[in-house]
Amino acid sequence: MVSLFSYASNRIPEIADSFFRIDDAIRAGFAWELGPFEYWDIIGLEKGVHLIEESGEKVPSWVTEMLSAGFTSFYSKQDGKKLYYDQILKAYQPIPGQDSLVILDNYRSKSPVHKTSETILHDIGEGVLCLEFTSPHNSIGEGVLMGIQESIQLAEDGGWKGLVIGNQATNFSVGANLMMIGMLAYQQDYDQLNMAVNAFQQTTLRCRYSAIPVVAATQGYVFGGGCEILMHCDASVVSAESYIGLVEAGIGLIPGGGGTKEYALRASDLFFEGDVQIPTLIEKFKAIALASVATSAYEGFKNGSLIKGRDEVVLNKDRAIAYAQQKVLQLARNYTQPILRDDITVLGRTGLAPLYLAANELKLGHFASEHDIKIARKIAYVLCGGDLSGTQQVSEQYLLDVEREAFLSLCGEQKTQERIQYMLQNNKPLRN
Amino acid sequence: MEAYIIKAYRSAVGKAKKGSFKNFRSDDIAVKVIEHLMAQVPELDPHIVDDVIVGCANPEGEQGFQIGRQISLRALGIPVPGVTVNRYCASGLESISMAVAKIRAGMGHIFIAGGAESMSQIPMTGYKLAPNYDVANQTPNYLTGMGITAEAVAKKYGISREDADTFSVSSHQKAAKAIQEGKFKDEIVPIEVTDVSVKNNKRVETTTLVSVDEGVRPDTTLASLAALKPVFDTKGIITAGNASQTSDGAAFVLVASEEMVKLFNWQPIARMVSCSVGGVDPLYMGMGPCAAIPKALKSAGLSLSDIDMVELNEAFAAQALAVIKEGCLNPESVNVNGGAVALGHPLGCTGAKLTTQLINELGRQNKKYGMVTACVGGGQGIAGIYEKL
Repeated sequence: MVSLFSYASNRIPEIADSFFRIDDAIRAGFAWELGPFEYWDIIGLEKGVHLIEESGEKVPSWVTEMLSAGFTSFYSKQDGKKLYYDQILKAYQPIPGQDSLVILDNYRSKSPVHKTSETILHDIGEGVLCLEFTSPHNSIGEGVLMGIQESIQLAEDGGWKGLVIGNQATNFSVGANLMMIGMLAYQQDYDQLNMAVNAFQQTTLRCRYSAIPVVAATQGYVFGGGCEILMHCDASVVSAESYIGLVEAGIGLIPGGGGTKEYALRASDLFFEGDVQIPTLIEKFKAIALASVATSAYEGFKNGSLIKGRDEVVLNKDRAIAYAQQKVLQLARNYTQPILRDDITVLGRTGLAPLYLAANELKLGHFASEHDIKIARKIAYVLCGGDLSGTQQVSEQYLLDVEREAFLSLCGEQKTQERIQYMLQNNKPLRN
Repeated sequence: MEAYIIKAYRSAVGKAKKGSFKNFRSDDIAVKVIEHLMAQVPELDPHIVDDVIVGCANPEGEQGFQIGRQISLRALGIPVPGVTVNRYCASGLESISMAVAKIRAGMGHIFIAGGAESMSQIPMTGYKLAPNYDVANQTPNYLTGMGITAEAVAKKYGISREDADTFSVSSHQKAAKAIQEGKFKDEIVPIEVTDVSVKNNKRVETTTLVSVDEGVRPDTTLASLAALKPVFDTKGIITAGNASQTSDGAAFVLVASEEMVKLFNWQPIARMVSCSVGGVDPLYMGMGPCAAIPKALKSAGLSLSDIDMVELNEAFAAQALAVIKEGCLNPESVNVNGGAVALGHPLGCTGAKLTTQLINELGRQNKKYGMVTACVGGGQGIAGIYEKL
């Protein structure tokens, strides 16, 4: 590391006028999380200089000058902007091109607009708020749900233009807090579970049905509950390298935060006069029942978690929040609060029959275990609005109730509890 | 070896898309009718039935998966096969004639034959409209919609709007009277239909017993029909009021060989004397019966005057009137209990349903010969002659 510090700092101005360009290049070109000067800042400027000197390598004059002038780091932060030390002006200057970025780390010195045990609400400028999850792996538990509800309320009451839900961790969210669900399932505490799932459903619903636009900005894993939040926002800006999917079937559950309902709604929106409907339904069913994960944002449009014209892809993940901020402003110009849907076409038994047959084939072909089939049939049941005699239009709340009931019934299954426990212990799914 | 009809039953005919069977599949209706039929012959082991022949005019979607087999499996068990027959509106009659012909040819002893159709669930033209290019380009009249063929018949044979409406009012009146007199009561298998739906965001189950034909409107008048607009041709005469009603239903008969009749000591209710089909210009599809009737009579060695009673499928009042006007049928003998304009026309079921009605009416009136006849899409006609026993 010391050699790297020495080597990199001695390449100024040989290969770049400013050191931050080297950091940019190393991060963008070699996928390092941090560039050499950013690492140096973590160690400390002065300590880094000493280490170089001790190892007998050369410290360039611009660094020693900087140190003697009293500077203690290569980078600094001011008003949400990142500054770099300009060795010609001998002062901190804003890094150019930052207007198209929102870096949450740069806001840490400011007091947040609001905070819960698992979220921080930042003012990212232009009247837009950004809700950052801070829970382990950005998993979604009570603190996150509360954070979302309170942030939306605060934005509505405070005349903010809108809210971005996004963070700059490796993963947007790995999904719901499994520990909590696992405990309640193990204790068979259905009242608590019902309340928890209902709170999740009402929170995702709130993302869509609020007086202000809510836009998600994602990167990395956007799993389970994370995906449900994304799908319920008014729009999303998704980094190309996002892995998106409703993966609940893998742990013996169905998406219970409105995700299964949302797939039923999206299938309904794709139906047209004269449509045979079943192929669309099967596509939606497969996405959830096979716990399909889009391995890029573009695949997200195929597995149904993203919608063309609503969701956007951004190649540089560092720009996702800034783009989401712009999307909020764009939507805010003419935003009307949507009304809860009661026109979702569900197929009842007409849809259930082919899905049950498909599940039976998976079993006969040894592609799925008995428990997989049980889960698949629950997913089918929700997607079809239950065992209705015919096609009917139903409300979102009806589907959410059916979804919650199916979720709770699976929580009572021993094999589901085994799957949850295995995932918590081994961080990979159990096939049972 | 002669073949005999031992039993004949049907479901009530439901109004398509808004009636009691709108969500109740035709294979489910068929299974109920066959189960009821079999319950009347407890001495018959279901597994010795040679085949179940099911007429169905749109055997796809809910009526796909070779509906005949799906019905035989559930109604009679794994060893009993099933086949689907499609001659559009003649399917139900065609299936009976096939059962009779097989027995006469020594190719079986016991058959269940009839038809089932849900017009609530399957679009009239099927799920994929895929006509042949050359046909569409060169001879599009081969695939003309049924309404237009009725207009063509009305025009060619001089049937007026008033003629058609008058015929239709009469159909409703006769049907209403027949229902009031309980004429169909014994032949209809009451079916319990449980409907599951969502009301006020809750799952709700309601159960109704369906035992009466739903299409009849006893209050139909000439004035009420005259107020309806033509559907297929702005200058035409065919309206929703003088055309057959789209319907859901199933009907089946038990056909057995002479040997089986003796074995079980059955009392047959009828025998099919003959059954013939004929082709006509598809544009004048409604005249199909005129091509089939002479053939059936000739084959039976009978003349039109021998036929006491006729069930003529009223695809359209105008078409039925044109067939009568052309002298193909004796008007007094036709549809004494009303027809499809009032009672409905569940396509593939109709031939078997009319057979059931005809045999029972022949019995009530103590008559000998009766005929079921229908026009068939694509330009065909069918006529089946029965002898009441």
